[in-house]
Amino acid sequence: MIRTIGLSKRYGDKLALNALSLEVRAGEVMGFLGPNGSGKTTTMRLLMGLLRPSAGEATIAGLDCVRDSVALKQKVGYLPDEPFLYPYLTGLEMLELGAGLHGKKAAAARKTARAAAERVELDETSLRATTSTYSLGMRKRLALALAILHEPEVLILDEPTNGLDPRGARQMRALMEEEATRGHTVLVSTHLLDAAERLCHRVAIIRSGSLQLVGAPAHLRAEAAAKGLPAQDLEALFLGITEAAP
Amino acid sequence: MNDGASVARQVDILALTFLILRVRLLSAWHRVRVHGRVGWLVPLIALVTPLSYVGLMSQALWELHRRATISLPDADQLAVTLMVVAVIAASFANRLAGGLSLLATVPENELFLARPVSLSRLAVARVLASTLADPVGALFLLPLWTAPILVWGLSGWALLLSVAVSVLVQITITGCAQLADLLLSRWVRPHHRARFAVALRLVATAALALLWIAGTQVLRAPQEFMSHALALRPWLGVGPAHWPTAALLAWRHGNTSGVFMAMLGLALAAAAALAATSSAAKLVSRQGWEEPAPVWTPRVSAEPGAILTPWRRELRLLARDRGRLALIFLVPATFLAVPLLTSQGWAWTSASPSRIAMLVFSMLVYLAASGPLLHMQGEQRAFWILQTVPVSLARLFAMKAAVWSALFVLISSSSFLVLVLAAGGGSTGSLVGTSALLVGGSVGLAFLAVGLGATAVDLTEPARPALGPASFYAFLFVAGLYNVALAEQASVALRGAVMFAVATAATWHSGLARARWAHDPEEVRRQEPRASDAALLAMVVFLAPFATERLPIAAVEVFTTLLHGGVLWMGLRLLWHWRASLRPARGVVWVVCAAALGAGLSRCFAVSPPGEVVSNGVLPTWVPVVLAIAAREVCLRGVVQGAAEHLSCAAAASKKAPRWTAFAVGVGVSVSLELLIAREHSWSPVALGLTAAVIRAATGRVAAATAFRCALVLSGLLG
Repeated sequence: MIRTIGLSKRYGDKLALNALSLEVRAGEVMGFLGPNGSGKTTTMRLLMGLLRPSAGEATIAGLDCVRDSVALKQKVGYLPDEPFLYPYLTGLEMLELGAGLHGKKAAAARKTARAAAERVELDETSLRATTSTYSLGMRKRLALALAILHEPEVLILDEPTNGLDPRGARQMRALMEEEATRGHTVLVSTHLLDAAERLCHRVAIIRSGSLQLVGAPAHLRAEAAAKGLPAQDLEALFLGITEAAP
Repeated sequence: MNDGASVARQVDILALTFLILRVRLLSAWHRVRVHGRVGWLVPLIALVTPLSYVGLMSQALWELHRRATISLPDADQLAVTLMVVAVIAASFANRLAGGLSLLATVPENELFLARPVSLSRLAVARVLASTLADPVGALFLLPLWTAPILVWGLSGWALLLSVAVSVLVQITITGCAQLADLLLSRWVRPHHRARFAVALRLVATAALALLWIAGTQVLRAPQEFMSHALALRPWLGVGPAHWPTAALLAWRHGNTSGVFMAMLGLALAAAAALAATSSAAKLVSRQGWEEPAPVWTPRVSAEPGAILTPWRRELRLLARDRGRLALIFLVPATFLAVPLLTSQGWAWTSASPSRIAMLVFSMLVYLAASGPLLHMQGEQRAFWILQTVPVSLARLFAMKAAVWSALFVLISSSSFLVLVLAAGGGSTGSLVGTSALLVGGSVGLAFLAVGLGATAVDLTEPARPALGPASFYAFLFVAGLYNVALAEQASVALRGAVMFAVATAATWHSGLARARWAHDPEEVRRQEPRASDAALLAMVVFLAPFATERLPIAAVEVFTTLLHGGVLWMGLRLLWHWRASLRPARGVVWVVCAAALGAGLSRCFAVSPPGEVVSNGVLPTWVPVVLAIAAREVCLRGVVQGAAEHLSCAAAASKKAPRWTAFAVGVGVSVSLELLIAREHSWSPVALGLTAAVIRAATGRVAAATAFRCALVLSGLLG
């Protein structure tokens, strides 16, 4: 469903992403793991057509992320790490704007907005408040509702659990599982490794822009253990890979 | 970002325009609803500023109309064309210079571009929506056109025509600016974009300087404009410069087909600008679109320097903010170069030290708006650091203002010296006096900018921009007052300087009070009297007569009625917001008693209506009189006296001083301001002001003071 071939991104002299080749299958939750500044957000922004690749190509559902970027966004929902919300729009107005940008007329937009709000458990009081009064967790929920309101086939979620309380984080995981059971694809970056281990079908570990490992967490741990690397859990494996000398 | 096969599935341009427009309008509505306190300032200034321009322009056109000679019967038309061209040039240059930051790092771009919206549609829809959502920008030519419509006696349809022209011109300007922005962002390398930004800022500053000089010449020295108009005729009479005014001039001469052709030309120009923007967006996003980095990227590393003191910190912040630093050198250089290198306006500008000082001070106001005021935008985010160090906010702000003051004094003194040496003339006494006033104004300007920047701070909402249009308008408005001190005769100049000092001190006081509790939502939302609001409203009343005396007699009654109505509305609005903080008023019977006292005294003393009231018979005589008195009383006795009482009470509470001291302070402040505002210095303003203030203090009712004065004046007026 998501495929990148030799995808690279250079900022001036700095190579932020180095020839990333990765495939995420339909109905799969792929964890995209890496330390801060390793290129996760750059990859996601490249997939969304928000950055111009320096080399390589990326496709989602067969659509090229550069050439077909408008059509592609009908099929993809994106939750940025720091989502922009208009501070003086209410939650409901934000969702109606999102639905409007997907071509919904006024009545349909309101219906879609309410359905999306219900899925992320935003109540009526929150929907009627301006987003400037929202807590970080509520902002994340609203941004997630914006990402899923058009029922996308692919979800790209950048640090979706940042700022969420334990209950919110659990709801977020449940939503991702539900998307996967519906046959949708989820690419999610997170620093919560125990959650990633439980939730993700496969994980990809990236370091300094280069892909280090990709596979099912249990499989990767078994491989690492066979090589004598620390692999009692995903966190140990992650630290072993990302802290090893290059 | 190829539209390709997905075009049919995208939201169309009109729907996208509607969505963006809805976002802008809803945001504005919620902002006013949440922050009702600052909501009064923008409409007030939006009312006063165009009215003042209409007044000044009407006066200039009347003068040109009267002096028109056989060789130059169309001098007034040339003046209108020149002003329109100058305003359009300045507006376009500013849009262009600001455009480099329009696309870069605008967070809403990600929201739109992560959805099925192509850059080309977004660019066009944003041009249309931003024009429609910004009435001040869309109707930017309206104040200029209203004056000739009044002077030439054209019908109301001409006003509608001017609205249409203004909107079309604004769409063209914004479209072209967006087009240039897209091309520069895509094709110019990041490190070269800074050079483009400097060049564009230079053009914008030169355009502003030209507007200032052209406007000054037409508005303040129309007779001198006559001598230059012949040379300007070939430039202004034909060609593109003529297009925006062609419709109005055709309407004036009853040439319907001329009007149609002119409007068609403007509509085609607007459509061409939009089409070019759309094509450019398609072109630049063909290989994928990427948000450009900010033009001015900060230095990524710096050698460790000496230990930071508050003073050194300000200098270092300024030195590392390269965009602002460039501006500080560019603006004075351009403002000096334009009058020195061109003949336009030089004779008027250099006629006296006070006029040179006005040019230099206008330049400083522009610098201060881009310097310390805008600097506070970033600084406010650092308040939490400032509040965790053992140094008072007052001291830190004073340091900031002192650094900028030193810079402003240096710039203003050197610019003044250069221009005085180039112009020659002027007695030593006038040079010393004017330069002292200029130095005082430069220092005050820095304190005003820092104070005003702090007045607007609200750190309870991370996403909220620290400075809104109200802050900038208020700054330009208060700073503009100092021109009275520079331009008028000694006694008026002194009153203007004192009023400026009062407004600056009040703003500084309110800024410190606000910054102290900027993190506390309860304190930020609290609607209580502020010295800065009171000072601003008092300034409007102070400046009203200056605007009135420049108007043609026919327009005075309408102007003063609108102005007093506006002041009354704003004052009542403030009092309504403050009602919880003001002490309770006594019963209505006191209003009747005060009216009776006024009527009784009118048998002993003859009191004339306020000086600025002129009746041309459009309205019954008593209407403008009552409106003027009510506006003044609500401003002085309600807002000013109420704020002074409240602030004195708050201070007295901590010092355990008696409450009556606060009443005395309130009476003293309102009477002092009345004396500053009064143009005739006789016993009556003092006695009447004092009596009204005492009535207000005793009853707690502004209505009682208003009833007293109305009864006093109307009894005499109506016999």
